[in-house]
Amino acid sequence: MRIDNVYEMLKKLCLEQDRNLGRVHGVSAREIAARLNLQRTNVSSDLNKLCLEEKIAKTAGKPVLYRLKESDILAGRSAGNFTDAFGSVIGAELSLKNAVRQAKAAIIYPPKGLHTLLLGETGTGKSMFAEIMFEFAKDEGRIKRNAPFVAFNCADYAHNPQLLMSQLFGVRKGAYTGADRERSGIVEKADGGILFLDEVHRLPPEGQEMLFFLIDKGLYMKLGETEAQHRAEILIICATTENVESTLLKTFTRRIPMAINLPPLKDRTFKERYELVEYFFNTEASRIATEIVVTPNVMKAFLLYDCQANIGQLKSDVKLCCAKAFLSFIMKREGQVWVHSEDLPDYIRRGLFKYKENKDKIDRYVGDGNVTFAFGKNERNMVEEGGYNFYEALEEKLNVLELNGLDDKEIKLIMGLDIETYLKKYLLNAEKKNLEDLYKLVDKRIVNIVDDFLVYASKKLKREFSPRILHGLSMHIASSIERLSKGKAIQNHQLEEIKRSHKAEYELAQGLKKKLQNEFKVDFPEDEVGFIAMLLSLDEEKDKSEEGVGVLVAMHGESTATSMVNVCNRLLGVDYAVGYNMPLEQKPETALEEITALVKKLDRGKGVLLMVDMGSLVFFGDMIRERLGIPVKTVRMVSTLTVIEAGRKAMLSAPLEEVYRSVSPLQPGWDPLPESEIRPDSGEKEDVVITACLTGEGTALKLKSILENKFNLGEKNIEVIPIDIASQAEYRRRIKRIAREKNVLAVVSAIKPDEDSLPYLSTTDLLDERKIEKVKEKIEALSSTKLIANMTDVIRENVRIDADKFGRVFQRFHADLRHRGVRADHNTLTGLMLHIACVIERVQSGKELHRLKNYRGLIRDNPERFRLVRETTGLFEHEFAVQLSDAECVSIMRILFAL
Amino acid sequence: MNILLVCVAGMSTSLLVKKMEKEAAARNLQARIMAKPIDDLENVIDGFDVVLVGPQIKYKEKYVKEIAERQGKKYAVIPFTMYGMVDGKGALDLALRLMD
Repeated sequence: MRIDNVYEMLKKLCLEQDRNLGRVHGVSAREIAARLNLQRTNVSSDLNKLCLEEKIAKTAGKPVLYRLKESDILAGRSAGNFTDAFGSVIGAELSLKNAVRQAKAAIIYPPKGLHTLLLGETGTGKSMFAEIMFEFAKDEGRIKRNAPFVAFNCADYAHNPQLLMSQLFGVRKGAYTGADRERSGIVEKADGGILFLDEVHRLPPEGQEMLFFLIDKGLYMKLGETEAQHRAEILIICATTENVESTLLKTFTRRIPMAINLPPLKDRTFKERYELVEYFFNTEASRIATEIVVTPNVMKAFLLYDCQANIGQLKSDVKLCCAKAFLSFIMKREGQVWVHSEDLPDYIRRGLFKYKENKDKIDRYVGDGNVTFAFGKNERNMVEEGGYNFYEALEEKLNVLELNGLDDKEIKLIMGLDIETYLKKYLLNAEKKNLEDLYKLVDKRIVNIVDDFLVYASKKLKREFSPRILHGLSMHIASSIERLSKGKAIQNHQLEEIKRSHKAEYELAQGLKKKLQNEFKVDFPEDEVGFIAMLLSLDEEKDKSEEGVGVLVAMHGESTATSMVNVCNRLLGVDYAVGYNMPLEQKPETALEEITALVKKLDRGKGVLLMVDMGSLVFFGDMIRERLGIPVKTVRMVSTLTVIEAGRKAMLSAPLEEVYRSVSPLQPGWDPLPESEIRPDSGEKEDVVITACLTGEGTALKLKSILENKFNLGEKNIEVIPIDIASQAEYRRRIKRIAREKNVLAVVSAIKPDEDSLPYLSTTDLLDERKIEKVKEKIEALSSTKLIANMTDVIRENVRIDADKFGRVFQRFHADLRHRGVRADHNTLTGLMLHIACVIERVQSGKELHRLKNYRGLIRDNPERFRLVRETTGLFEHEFAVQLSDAECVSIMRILFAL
Repeated sequence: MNILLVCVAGMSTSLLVKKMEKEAAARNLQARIMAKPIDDLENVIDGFDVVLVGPQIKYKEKYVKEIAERQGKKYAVIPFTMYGMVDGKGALDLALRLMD
């Protein structure tokens, strides 16, 4: 029976509150409805029935909260076994069901339980799970109430095996110099309880050996002892992020019979993820003792974004957003802390891209209203009926987004989602009312015009409309007429999209517009026609993948292109884009042939958009176009975002030129050069320094000239951009805009920008002679780090050595040089890096090196410098297992010291 | 056409030489392009029409200038951005511009 389920859920939630918070404040009908996936009205009537029967109680006030009767709460508390320690674990009944069952079995297994290995990616909750096993063991009486739980992270001491061993097992007095007394290890401390060894794959071999001995015999020895003589009764829980198939772990799994897998976040259900997010927000709300209001888009983003480091990251991301929101809350002194989607970091907001595809799965959790979290409870705001103004809401939203400096692309995405939400709200709200009610709300003339129109449209579109569309559309038009007659504008961010994808509806809407204009004498803008078309098409979204522009993604790396394409195709729900992987060993000639063949295959008469990352791939588009005569446009610096956008556009049958233009501004460092002028390095962002001041550009210009003179920025190819700041928002927006297109090395200003990722130098730093040196170093370090990173790409393409490793080693080498007071400008650095890379390649492949004349004389004349080069280049010799001759070192010395 | 590239050991420059040769072949240009250590410049310059100098020995520009002018040859220092990208096309263009 439904009513029984409702009661059980209420009981469960109340007892959970009692257990977690120490009191029961009650549960709303909506919460129970969401948990059981039932209609709220039905749940409400069940709850009222239970109240009448006096099985439960309810609170006065709105929203009404229901709770168990006091006596039942007490009974539930004393029974204590309503749920065990695992009961409160989110997902215990879903994704973790198996894990929980295994864990319980491991603890209960006679006589003393089974040692357990917990497997799972970072952040899947291994530590928490171990602690709950500990609680469970206590509850079950397997260990004493006061038994210890000792956690130890093997990675903490992984670089020093001896220290690790002493920490783990203890030290005998006199074991080594300085061991002046007997020390106990954590194994001793954990005696009689549970020892949790995190990151156990970092345990060195000698540690493993001792651990296995302890597992097998229950005995261990301290450092400095020769015989295992100490006894310890311990249940060991190990945890690792390693693959269980790795050889190291095989030795473990032989000894440790129980292996429990904790699934990554992406494999867990949306229900669990929702509960996790909810739990974390509740925690934050309690922490700051203020209500936190979360918009539906934020909830959607949190449910959908790519959360690599699992629950751990989810938790810190929620925390981060709450912290940000809390900050603006104290600045504005609002009543609640509001988390809006525009406050989210990019990578979380990207989750919204997946909304379309997952709509059905998450809508039941998210709903259309804001969610308010407060002190451990959550209550959805009811969507206000009537008085709700679609346009005001959109306008307000748009203002906020623009103020926050979001770019058009992001605004469009968020507004697009919002428009749909708002319109859906109209349809849903309208559903219940009958025609009489509608007449009360809306001018009868409108209803009649709309009614006639729908009959006509239904015929034209060969499609039945649901009855609710009459209400929804009538109400919508009433409010837009009202708005237009007041002279307010209407803006539709989806207009172009609607025109193309809902062409028939759009044309029909034009007809309705004419009728309405005649009747009401108001001028309907195109944007409004777009809204009408959208309403018409909302309940029927069809997938039409006509033959459009081909999209081909070609990138360096074994699987980079295909995995990026995979992501995009999954997000779009259509296999549209195609990926081509170019392994680093691949010859450009071969790649060109293969890509040419692919382009030929993908072209459906409308041309192909070629999206590439870097290097020679940049030029292929032009070559292929000339060769095949197929229109090909090349987009450089491809990213997931640009592929999505290109795929989306292409699916809508946009012509090549338009698809190309739609993604170009999304690229970093985009410049509208004709293809023939594209230089291979133009995809890289330019280095710039921004100077800014409040009092007009005068000071900023002065700062610019100081910077250029003092730091020779011109020589380093670093541009200085002076800007003036009219307002804080303007300041932020301009910096953001520049940062999108250029690589900002530093912002020099009296006012710190709130973009923390940008290095900031205050104006006074610049005028203080002592600080100038530091600033100089900072700028040089920043720009040379970038130079080295760029050069790494070049080396990868041109020299047959491990370029990434070389780049890393060279960074260290360069840091060492700086540390020793040797400065190298960009000319020197470029040459030096290429030179050393070539030397290593030659030595490794046993090729002959160029002879250098009179190198002994140079060594004799520069003994100090030569020694410095010998010492610093030792790093390369070590890392690449090569030997550099004296002559080689002299070459390096000559480059470095201009000899 | 004979192009000489010089740097300290003629090592990294040889990468650029390869790229330039490829580019020249693609354009059907007859070109002899070689990389030499700066110390050999005086001995070999005679056999070449232009000299390109690696940016890491920009400090030797004066020395190169003297020798080149004495021999009536044109020279240029390769910009480090071009050099850093091992941009054979750009370097070849640079050499061709010198000969005009």
